[in-house]
Amino acid sequence: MPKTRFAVNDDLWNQFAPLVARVEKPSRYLGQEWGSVEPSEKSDADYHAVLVYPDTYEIGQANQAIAVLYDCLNANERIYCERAYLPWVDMITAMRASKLPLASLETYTPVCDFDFVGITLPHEMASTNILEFLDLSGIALHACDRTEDDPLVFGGGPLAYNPEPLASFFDAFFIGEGEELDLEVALLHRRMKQAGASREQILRELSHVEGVYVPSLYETHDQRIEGLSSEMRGYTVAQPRFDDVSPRVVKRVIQEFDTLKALPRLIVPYSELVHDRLAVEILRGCNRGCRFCQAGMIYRPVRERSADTIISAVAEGLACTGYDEVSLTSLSSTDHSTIGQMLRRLNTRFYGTGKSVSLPSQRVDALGVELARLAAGEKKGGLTLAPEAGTQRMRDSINKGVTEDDLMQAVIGAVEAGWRGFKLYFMIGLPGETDEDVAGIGALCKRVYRAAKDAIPDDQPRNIRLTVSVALFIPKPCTPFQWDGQIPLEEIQHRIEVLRGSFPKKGIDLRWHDSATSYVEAVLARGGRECAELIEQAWKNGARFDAWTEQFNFDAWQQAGQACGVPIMQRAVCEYEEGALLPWSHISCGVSEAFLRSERQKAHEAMTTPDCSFGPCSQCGVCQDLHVHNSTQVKRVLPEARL
Amino acid sequence: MSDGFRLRVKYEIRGRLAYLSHLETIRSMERVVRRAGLPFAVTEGFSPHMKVAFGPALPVGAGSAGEYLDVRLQSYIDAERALERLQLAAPRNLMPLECFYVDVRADAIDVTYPLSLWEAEFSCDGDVREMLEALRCAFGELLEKGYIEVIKRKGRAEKVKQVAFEGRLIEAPVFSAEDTCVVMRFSTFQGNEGALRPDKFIDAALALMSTPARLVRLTRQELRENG
Ligand code: SF4
Repeated sequence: MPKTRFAVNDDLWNQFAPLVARVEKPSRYLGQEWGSVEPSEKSDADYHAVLVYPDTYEIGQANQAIAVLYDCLNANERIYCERAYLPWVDMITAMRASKLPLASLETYTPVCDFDFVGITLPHEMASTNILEFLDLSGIALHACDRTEDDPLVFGGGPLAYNPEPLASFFDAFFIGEGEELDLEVALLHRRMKQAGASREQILRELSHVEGVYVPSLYETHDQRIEGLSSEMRGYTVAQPRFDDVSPRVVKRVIQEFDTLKALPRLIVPYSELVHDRLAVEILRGCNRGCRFCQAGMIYRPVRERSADTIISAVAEGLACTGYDEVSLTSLSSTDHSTIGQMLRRLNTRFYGTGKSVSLPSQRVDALGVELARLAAGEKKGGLTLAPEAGTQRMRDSINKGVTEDDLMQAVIGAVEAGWRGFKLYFMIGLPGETDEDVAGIGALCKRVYRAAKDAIPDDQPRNIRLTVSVALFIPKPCTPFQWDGQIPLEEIQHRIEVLRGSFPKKGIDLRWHDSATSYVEAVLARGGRECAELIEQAWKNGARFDAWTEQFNFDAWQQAGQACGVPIMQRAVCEYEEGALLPWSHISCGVSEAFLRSERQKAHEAMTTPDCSFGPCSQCGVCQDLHVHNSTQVKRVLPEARL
Repeated sequence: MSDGFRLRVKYEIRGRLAYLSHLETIRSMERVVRRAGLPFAVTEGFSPHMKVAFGPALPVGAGSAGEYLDVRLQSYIDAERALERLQLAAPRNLMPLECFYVDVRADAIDVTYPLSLWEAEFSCDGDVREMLEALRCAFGELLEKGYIEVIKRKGRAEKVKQVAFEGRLIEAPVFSAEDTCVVMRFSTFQGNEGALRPDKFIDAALALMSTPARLVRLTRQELRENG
């Protein structure tokens, strides 16, 4: 510093070019897409940031959070923000052989030369990818080994609500929504760095920014886990080392969501992405309160954009990208208070243009199907519904708020509207689950299958495709089930047998999601800093791209677990004590522990809690603690009242 | 409906975008047309798509100084204006250069322009003249042989196929020495019989060299009419 101008590093690109020619999907490594920010646009910038997604380009480029933050940071003339992704394994091998460092997409600047490296933390199974990324970038894995010349490495995203397993690899974490926070941190870092402040001084100052957690300013001690033998490690809990460092870091949240730009500057990739279409975020937060769901707790409260804002963002977004499909995204888009009206307006606009609108998820009831019909028009692929549990008792226990009647109405309505393919999602291994609940999945699916067939008009072939996908429950921090363990291996095997036995021999396609990854995910989700060693050892044993089924290496994790005293299977099943400090007790999403405990109690009693965005407050604590409130466009009304 | 108007767009592919696949180029150019807001015609039926046709595929890694696409328009728009709008909607390295109308019944692009003129650049750390000679030798040897072998994959099965130069290689390579590189030019004919891929042709020659030269750029300089 001061750097004056940024330019493309042609030398480095020229070294990459022969590698790019040899690997799968070269377009992952090209950048220069329509909408990406070129150095020529940033002649006044002197601070260099890079946003990172720890997976391949096609997965990361589809991430909406990165798109929004890229736009926010680049909107400031002093900051030039680029992107970087983890290369696929073929490219990693080639880069290591040629000793080439990981570089940004826009200018091919080595990642280690940036000021700000912001890594998205999407899910636990990306943990080893983060180490692979740092290592390929030539950045010291451990924050404590970095020097004054190294960038500050930041992390943000869902995992930041329990950042402890990754704490030693990051200089700081951003808790909550990043639109304002990322920019504040970047500008503060820039100012202090230019004034000659040391890394240590800067981090100390950053720790005073609301929503920033600097792990090195906390000390940890071990908490024993009931039921584990003494040679196994417990989890760590953290406390600040200094008086000026907050014992509790509370998430950042933007109340005036509708005033944020609905359409960030958009990058149109050359290669096909997982979601190759325009995405417009129509609301934030989901307060349905499913007790296993972390997203339903950490993104509260509910805030909706107005129909006008959304429709003009869709029109402008399609025109400036050239896409012909838009997805109206959020955790529960069909709960938007004016969704029906919005879909009708969009359909009128799109009529005869070949453009279409899609919804990422469906509510399980007649209204959900009505909305799906509005979105799908004549194109009817499969309809996906997630009842999650097989019996009413279990659905009430997880607060799914779906009755068998809702499900039947949805399926029959869908068949009448022309759908013939269905996919149903369920979970097993939920706290309090019995054999009867597991067998209830098959029984329910049989009834669904029969009802769907019966709903087909007589003059049409009686063909229904029903796929049932079952996964293992994974306890997550900040949820009412955060204290619960998974079920042991022998018990899983037993329940899978019960599950299989409950399904007919043919007709329904039953798919079981492999449980080994779920165990690792559960351990990391609820781990403390002791898991850093586990992640590092697993990575050294060859684990990476753990979310890619064919790359997942369970042996690498199990061996690492044994070596580090964090054995995967034992840790995944252990229950944490209510009332004890947890690894993430110093991080808050605003939902109070008292609420989570009462929800857990209600789960045991199979009692439900209504969605507060449709009715009265259920005292989760977010609104009081963060001085925010639900804000919907019009009053949300339950479907019974609407139909 | 009338047949509409057939606008031919010439565009270049430069720099890193030489590594786009043919399919990616097609999709990207279609999006350029959409963003430019040209009044393109769509096919009828269940899922309507843009009426657009492209020229012969480029190998991945090759850039171009002039590719073509034909897009059918519902209404006439001045070609110069169309070009301006396309240029504003295009990524810098995938830039439209020229627009003109052709008869709706005119031949397809690959029939109109069956010849490709290629330019390859080899970088050189040592003596340029020496490398030029080595390249000339290698290509000479290959030409003598008269064909290259390419592996065709069909599912799991692999088949080795001979692609003869006869009828496909129209102008044999000509070399020139520049400051720190050697530039080579040659031209090919892409008929129905399976074209000679320039990248495979070069690879085959480089494989004959004791220290292979390093290919740093391959560009289609021109798509040409016959004769
Ligand atoms: S505090 Fe009340 S109104 Fe606010 S999100 Fe929680 S339950 Fe809903």
